[in-house]
Amino acid sequence: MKYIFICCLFLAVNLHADEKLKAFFGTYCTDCHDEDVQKGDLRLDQLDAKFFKDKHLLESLIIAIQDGEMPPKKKKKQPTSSERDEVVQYIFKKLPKDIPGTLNRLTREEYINSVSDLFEKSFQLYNYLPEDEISGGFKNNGKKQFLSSELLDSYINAAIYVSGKAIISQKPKILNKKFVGKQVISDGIERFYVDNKAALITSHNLRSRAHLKDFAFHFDGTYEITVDAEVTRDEKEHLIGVSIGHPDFTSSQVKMTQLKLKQNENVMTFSIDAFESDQLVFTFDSSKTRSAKNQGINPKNYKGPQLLIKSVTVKGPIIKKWPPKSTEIIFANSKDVKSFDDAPKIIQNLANKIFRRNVQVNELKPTIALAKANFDETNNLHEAVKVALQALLCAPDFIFKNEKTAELNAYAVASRLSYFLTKSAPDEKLRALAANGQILNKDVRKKEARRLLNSSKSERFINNFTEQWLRTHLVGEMVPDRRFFPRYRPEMADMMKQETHMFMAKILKDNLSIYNIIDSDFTFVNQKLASIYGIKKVKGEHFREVKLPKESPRGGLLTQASFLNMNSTGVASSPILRGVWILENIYGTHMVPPANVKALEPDIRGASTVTDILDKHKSTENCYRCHAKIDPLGLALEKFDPVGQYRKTYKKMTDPGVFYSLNERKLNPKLKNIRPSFKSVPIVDERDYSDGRPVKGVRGLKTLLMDDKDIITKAVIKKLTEYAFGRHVSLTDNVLIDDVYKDSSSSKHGMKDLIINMVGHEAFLKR
Amino acid sequence: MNRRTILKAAGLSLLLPQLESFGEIKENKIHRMLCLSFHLGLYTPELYPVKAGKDFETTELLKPFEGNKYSVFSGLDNPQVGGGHNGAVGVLTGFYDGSGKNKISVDQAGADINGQTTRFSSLSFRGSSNFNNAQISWNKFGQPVAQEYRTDKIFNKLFGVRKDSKEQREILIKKKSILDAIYGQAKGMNKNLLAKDKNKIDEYFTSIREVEKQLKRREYWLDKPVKKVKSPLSKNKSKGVIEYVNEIFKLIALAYRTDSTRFITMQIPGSGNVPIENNKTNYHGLSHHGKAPQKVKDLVTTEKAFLTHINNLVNDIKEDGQLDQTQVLVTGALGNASSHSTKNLPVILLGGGFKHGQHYDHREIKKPLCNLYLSMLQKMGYERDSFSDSTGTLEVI
Repeated sequence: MKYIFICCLFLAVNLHADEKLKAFFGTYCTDCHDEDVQKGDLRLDQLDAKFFKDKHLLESLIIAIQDGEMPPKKKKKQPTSSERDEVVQYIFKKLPKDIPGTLNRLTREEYINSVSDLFEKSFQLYNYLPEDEISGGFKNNGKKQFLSSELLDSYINAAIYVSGKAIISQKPKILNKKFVGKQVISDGIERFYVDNKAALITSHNLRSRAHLKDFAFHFDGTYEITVDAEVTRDEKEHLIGVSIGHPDFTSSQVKMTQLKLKQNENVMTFSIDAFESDQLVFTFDSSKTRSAKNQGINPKNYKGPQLLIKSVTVKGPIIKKWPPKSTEIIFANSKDVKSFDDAPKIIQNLANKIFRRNVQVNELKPTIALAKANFDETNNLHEAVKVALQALLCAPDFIFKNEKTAELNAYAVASRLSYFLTKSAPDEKLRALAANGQILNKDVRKKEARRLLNSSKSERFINNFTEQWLRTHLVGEMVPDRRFFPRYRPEMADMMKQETHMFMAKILKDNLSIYNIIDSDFTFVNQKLASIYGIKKVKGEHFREVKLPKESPRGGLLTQASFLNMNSTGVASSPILRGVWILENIYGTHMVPPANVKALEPDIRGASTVTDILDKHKSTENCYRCHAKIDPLGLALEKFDPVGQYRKTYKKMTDPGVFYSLNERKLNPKLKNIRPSFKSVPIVDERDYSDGRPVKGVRGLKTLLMDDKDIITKAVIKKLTEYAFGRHVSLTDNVLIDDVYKDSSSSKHGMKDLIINMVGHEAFLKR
Repeated sequence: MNRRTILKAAGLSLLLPQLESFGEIKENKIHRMLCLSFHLGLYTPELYPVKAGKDFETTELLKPFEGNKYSVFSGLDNPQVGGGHNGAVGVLTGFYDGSGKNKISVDQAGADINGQTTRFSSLSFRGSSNFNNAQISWNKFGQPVAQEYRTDKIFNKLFGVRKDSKEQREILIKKKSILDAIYGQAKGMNKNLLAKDKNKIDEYFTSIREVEKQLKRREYWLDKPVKKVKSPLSKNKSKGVIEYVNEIFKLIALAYRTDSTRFITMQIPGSGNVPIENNKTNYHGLSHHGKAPQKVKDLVTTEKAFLTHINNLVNDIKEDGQLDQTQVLVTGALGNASSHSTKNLPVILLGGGFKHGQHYDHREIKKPLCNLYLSMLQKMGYERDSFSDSTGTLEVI
């Protein structure tokens, strides 16, 4: 009887609390969110078990009620702030307490860095492993990762490749070969020879390039190359590009160096690192034209400078040390190739590094058995260890991260820290601190974080994090239309990206306040980018830090060409894309794109203004809920065009149809003198934010963001945590975020402090 | 019992369970696909009929197909693909972003489900050597599938003596032993996992089994002698682009006849010389006709020559009784080569068990070409309900 009573009491209490929630929803919400109306596909009249299991839904309710976003402002019935707090607290307690995350596997980047660091050798693995998905969130988020037979097959092929390159038993043949005359092949659309010498006239790789006949490097290593060439019909100094890769595929080519060719100085010698099967490709980088044909000139009759390559000599590989480092690392303590005695120890040592934990020999039975079977056949320890290494590199213990339990063990913590800040497996120091458990100590962890951030490997962190957080891989994807933006060149996309990456790298390195992403008094430019920004006296291709004058509208992330370009179409800036980007990446808001809604069509004739189109959002409440925030943020930046230039008016094409290609004009004399024409349309960059704060232009936007700097700082901490933990970060992680925020306030939330305090936090020890 | 349960039940002692021998797999229905894309597209004013439905009139560029049943589509294109000639790489994927990567193309999506029982799951060609933006066949990782253009290499690949089979066999044996070892290694890992992580390891086990299946298949074909056929290639070396492309068509017919593969893709190049009234003319130059009547006429003549060869290839497939199993797609990367427009692409579909005989007009209400790709794939057992940027299927009778 007593038992039943307690049960009833418990039930009653529970019922009581749920009733309160029900009453709250009944009073303020079910007008719009019940069976009949279901705005936003949401019903709040049925609080069943399913409702309380939906973590995502509960979290969005908390945010909407907490921020006063719901019930909508125009509703007269509004809950008091204590009512809001009470309900929020209640839902918060109800959030399901499952173990977050899932088993993550290594990303391509992490795989490549891990094996490269382990064997102190670089591997050409991009052709073996597929790229990771980046759709929303970070690439290392296990939820988005898949494993398929194709991927496993890729892992097997990659492992065979890595083991073959890491374990080298035979010295390679040393090549010394001179390629003369037509052995240097003139290639591309505008190819030809002058006196049997390959002649290059354009700077465009697809039009002019040269490669060596029947030649590919036969061994990974350093080679010495001698080029005998001259540039005719010009007095100036010239640049020759040297790339390795496949001559037919520009995307496979990696530029190794640029040679300076002075007048009367024809023979140049240099050394490059190449992979087996790579080919050598030469380009005429400082040519004055990108295409003779497009100018209507037969390449052979082109009068400008031409690069003539007389001969190319390849020597190598140059071997300074034998056996190679990678082989020495594996077989350091074993001399006898004809004995299997050392094999178990060698394989165990390898497994310790590859699995990122200390492995017992009996765990490795299948792998050692595989090696033994091979040894029985080959009687060669190198070959036997090679197959063992292949198996280790395909094993789930390597491919999947070590975070298998709710409370992480020391190895998993070391691994998490290492992949977070170096995108690679733990180094020797970290492995030792994991083996003796010291990494579980907060101060040791912080010290290690500092060490890793000061090492050169932390570049991988800042580049990866920046690219995936700010989505800089999208820069240049929407190619700006040359009719509108004649200053833009395709190669500028990389420069825009570089500015943002260098900017973030400095904030990290100097532990600058994260507020710098909102506004800063510095940025990084080279000559081309400076010309876009209207910054004078910057000469040359190299990037440098520049101080921005007080009156400059630039500073922070939002005036950088990378952001402005990636959130534009080819012809027009998009206030919607820009606004959404700011909300998602700076405010950390989760945005859901509307279903089946036609996107804002670029209108290059200026028939309707941007504000006309945006005003349509106001007419439907469903649109306006989000666009009341999106539109003012994006609109404030309308004075920045799709390539990042500051403008006073829009430039609209009066008749887009009049632009024909050169070819078409050549064919049709009537078209010869027709050019596109433009008119100016005034820009409106002012609108009130959803909560009534006015936002006027870029300065107004920055003021608004500075007002919200607490929210923004916490959003950055959240992004860092998602990246470090490889999982979605939810409201249940708020303790971590709030603590890191408080602990780093003395430096105005310096980026280094944010990271070190997060690593030191006890949440870093949990999945 | 599904594969996963079999694996779970198998246990380490068995290592990998014995698989059915490869040649004995029963096939319910054979599906083949041939995708041909014109780099320069076709001159659509002479292709698209005016009338829609069954009663459409035969246009100049449809004449070569008289005698065969076909469907013609107007107004389809890839909304996410722009970029003039560069966008050609996305004609079969519905995607192009300027990078070196893409999404899976329709031929590869088909081959993934239906190409697994032949010697080659698919073959891809390009019709010329110096050919920018030749790549139209992309695997599921978005990586380019090798597209051979040398006719002698193609012939040797299909019917030549296998010199490298010993080396091939060694790799297969090596891979199988790796699979054995990692299977053992993975068994150990499975023990201490959280319940929610188990499906990740399940994926891993499933993949092991799938890879083994593929290895078995390759091993099976390694043992089978290639069919002996006479080379259809002519000795005459200097060929115009039409002749050269036709040589590859002949090899394609042989590949289907010998069931060496069931999925073939080729891009027809936009460069090279074509004969016009005994004179050589530049094909690409003709495409930039600027509406000059004589140029248009010569262009249409050229395109008809290509299409006639394609129809001969279709007849070869029909002769072998394979046309009902073979979806033949003829399309192009440009809707209007003169202005480099990628809108309103040429699309003709033959064979594949469709009844055909209609003109589907989508010029008014635009549809992505990927809707047709989705319909084609679903006809051959594709179980997903979207392909690239498809918004639904297209009704094809």
